[in-house]
Amino acid sequence: MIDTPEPVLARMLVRMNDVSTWFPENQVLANDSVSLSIRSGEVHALVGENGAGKSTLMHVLSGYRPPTSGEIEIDGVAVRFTAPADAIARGVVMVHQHPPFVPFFRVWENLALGSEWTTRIGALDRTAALAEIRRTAEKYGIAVDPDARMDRLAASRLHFVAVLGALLRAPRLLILDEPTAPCTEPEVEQLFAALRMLAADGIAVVLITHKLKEVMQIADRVTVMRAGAVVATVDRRETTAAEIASMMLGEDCQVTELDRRILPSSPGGPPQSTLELRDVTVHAGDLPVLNRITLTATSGTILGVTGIRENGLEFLEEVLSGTIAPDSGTILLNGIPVARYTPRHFRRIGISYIPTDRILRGSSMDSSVAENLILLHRKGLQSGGLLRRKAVEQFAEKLKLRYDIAGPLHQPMRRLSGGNIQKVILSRELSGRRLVVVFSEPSWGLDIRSRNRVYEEMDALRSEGAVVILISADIDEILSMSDRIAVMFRGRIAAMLEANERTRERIGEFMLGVEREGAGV
Amino acid sequence: MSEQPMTAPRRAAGTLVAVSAAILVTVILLAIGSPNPARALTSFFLGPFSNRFFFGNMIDTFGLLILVGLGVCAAFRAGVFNLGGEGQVYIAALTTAVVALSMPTAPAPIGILAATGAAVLVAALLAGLSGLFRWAWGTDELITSFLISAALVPTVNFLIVGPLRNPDSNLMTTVRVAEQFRFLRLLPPSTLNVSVGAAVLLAVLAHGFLFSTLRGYELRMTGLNREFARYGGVAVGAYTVLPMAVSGGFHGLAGAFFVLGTHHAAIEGFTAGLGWNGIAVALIGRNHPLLIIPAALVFAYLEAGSRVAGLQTEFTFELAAIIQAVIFFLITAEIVLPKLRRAHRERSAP
Repeated sequence: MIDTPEPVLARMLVRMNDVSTWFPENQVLANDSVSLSIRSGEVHALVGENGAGKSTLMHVLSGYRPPTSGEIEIDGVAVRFTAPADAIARGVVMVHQHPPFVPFFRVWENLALGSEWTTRIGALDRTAALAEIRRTAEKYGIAVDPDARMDRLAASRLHFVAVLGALLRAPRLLILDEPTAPCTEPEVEQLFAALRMLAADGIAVVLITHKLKEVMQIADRVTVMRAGAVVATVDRRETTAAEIASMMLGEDCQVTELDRRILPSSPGGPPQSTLELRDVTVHAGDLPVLNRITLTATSGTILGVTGIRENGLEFLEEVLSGTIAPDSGTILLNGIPVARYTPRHFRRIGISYIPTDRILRGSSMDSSVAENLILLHRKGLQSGGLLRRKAVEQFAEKLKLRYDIAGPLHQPMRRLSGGNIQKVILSRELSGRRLVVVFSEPSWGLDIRSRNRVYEEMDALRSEGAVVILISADIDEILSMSDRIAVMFRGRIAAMLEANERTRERIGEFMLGVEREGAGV
Repeated sequence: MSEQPMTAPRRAAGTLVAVSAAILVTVILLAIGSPNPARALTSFFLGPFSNRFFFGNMIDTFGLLILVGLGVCAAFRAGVFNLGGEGQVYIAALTTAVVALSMPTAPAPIGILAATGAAVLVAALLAGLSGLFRWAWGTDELITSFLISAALVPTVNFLIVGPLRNPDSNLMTTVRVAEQFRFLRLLPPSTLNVSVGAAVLLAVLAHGFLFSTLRGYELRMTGLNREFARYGGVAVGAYTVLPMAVSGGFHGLAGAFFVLGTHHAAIEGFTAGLGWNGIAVALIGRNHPLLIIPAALVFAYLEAGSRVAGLQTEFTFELAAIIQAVIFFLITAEIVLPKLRRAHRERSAP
């Protein structure tokens, strides 16, 4: 520790100047010239959608990852962290979203890791450890029994233990990544009371969250990030939840794009298909992650389903693709309940699906591009059990040309860029006639050209009379592509918006649960 | 449609290094472990070619190794692992002997077909059982196949030395099968017989199946990315159970040929690691049916060398066993370790 913090007025503690972080593995610029200042004794909320770069920025600040460029100052002195231990030595401690623990150890044993509670002969000093943990816990009102076994604690308590562990390291800046996610209301209160006490002691707190209600409740200042960059840092007393929401989701989008969606559906009226979800419920553990979802998608329209990640979109994707079966409720295609919830059966009845996970689910990375392309058409390319080499090549070549897939067909999928991988998946899923096509986050990581390509395909499917379902957390994409929009919040459909009644702000509020506040959700 | 390994030359070089290292260690062990290093070395490396007997036996082993290698490959390509080859070969051998002995006067084609078919069926069922457990309850097929096999070995031992023992022999062996069931010997007095041709033919057929048929494609996709295959509507359950059964079937065939071609009876402990060596052969051959052929040859040569050296010199049987262990260790380390490292890296990546 360089000096003892003076418990005085808000002075500048940390300054991040033009920090950029580039992930070469997936070609993502997670932080784009971010500048941020943090004062002693403030609770600083860092908000933004998932993937906005909040966690990465804080990983940089706490020494888990070096920035690609830019610098960090603490007390006006430039610092360079090569490991979390460097940051801890300067008083910067981060509590991760999923803090790691040894499950069958006791709380104090977990917290003793890396501490100096040892007797003269080097054994762990249980008495000293318990005393210090109890002292800190009592001081900040954090109710954790240091002698409890870790795996007997509720998920929400794990975060309390992690916070306690961080406090034992005498932080000057405490960074918390989504600490309230598994917490009940009283637990959130308890945590926030502790944070207020910390701030009063002159300790700075950065709270990464996307719960605006909590931001308005506790933060002194709020920094909003979007797409890797800082949109603004504002004083909480001078802003509103709605204003923060619109900053998070982007204001630059033109609502005029909506016009192109208000078209007569399915010209000529080909045979109508419908995909219907009735009271579909899925549990993860005891919690319903999809709670009595009822939706109808009809041919010739695009149904957009949006929400903030972890509010049920992921599970809707799994249910719509037959990957998991609902615990209760039914999915009906043209009024007939689907017989089996397996991807194989869903394929057979004409439901096509572009998955969010293009690497683990959408591709076989060690197989050739051609082998990836023929997955769904394999049966048409055989005679007497033998794959007809020529037919396979012609088929793959045709898709390659139509979708402009780069590189030779025999090279392994692993060599392709993200955009080209998505093209392989799209071309495979869209060739042939499909009744229903489920798109999940189809434009993630794609450049504008590939993105437009996806949108053109969706429009084409729509006018061909297919049922198109677009699951996306990208509000711009949802607004510009969908005929109707379902907004999910905590596993439920929070709102079903028709073309004429939707604005970015309204969707944003439903996504963040603002309208549901006090409604007992 | 054949696969395109990205770093094929580098991987081939890796195998070469491992095999060379194994040979080098062998030389060193021979040099320090034998009272007459020069003679031990000569008999180790040249012994297998010194006469018809040694050479023929080596080629006979080569054929059997192809079969067990294909057995391992069949499961591995579908992403499952049959670790019970040893027990499957052994019980298949016993089954062959029992069936053949029960019909001593049957015409050759019927007897051979019945004995071989029964052996293949028994081994396929046993391995398939592990696949079934995996499919039904997610039980690790690696563990169950190993455990079932581990229980079979002493059972077969008991049957051979107990109820099925030939009372007229000093060896722990069953009675020899009838003349007409024995495969034609190609290089007497060696054990080399026509079955080696069948083994090579099967390797070629397996290659064709894997890379040129619809089912082979589905099987490979299941093995490379189970989630991808499931997503594409492949019946991944079937590709868990059936490849295990086929794997068992290959081991069963090896057991049948071992009796009808090589020994003409089931002898206690006579499979001596054949099942395990199949794993090494499949690994050297990159689980590629055509590469399994040269891999089996290399392995058969090293094994024959240590056997000849053991017979001709003061070179002890233990030394031969150590050399085989070293070869197995180096080759598997070279192939398995980079894979584990990569898997670890991918897991710990953010």
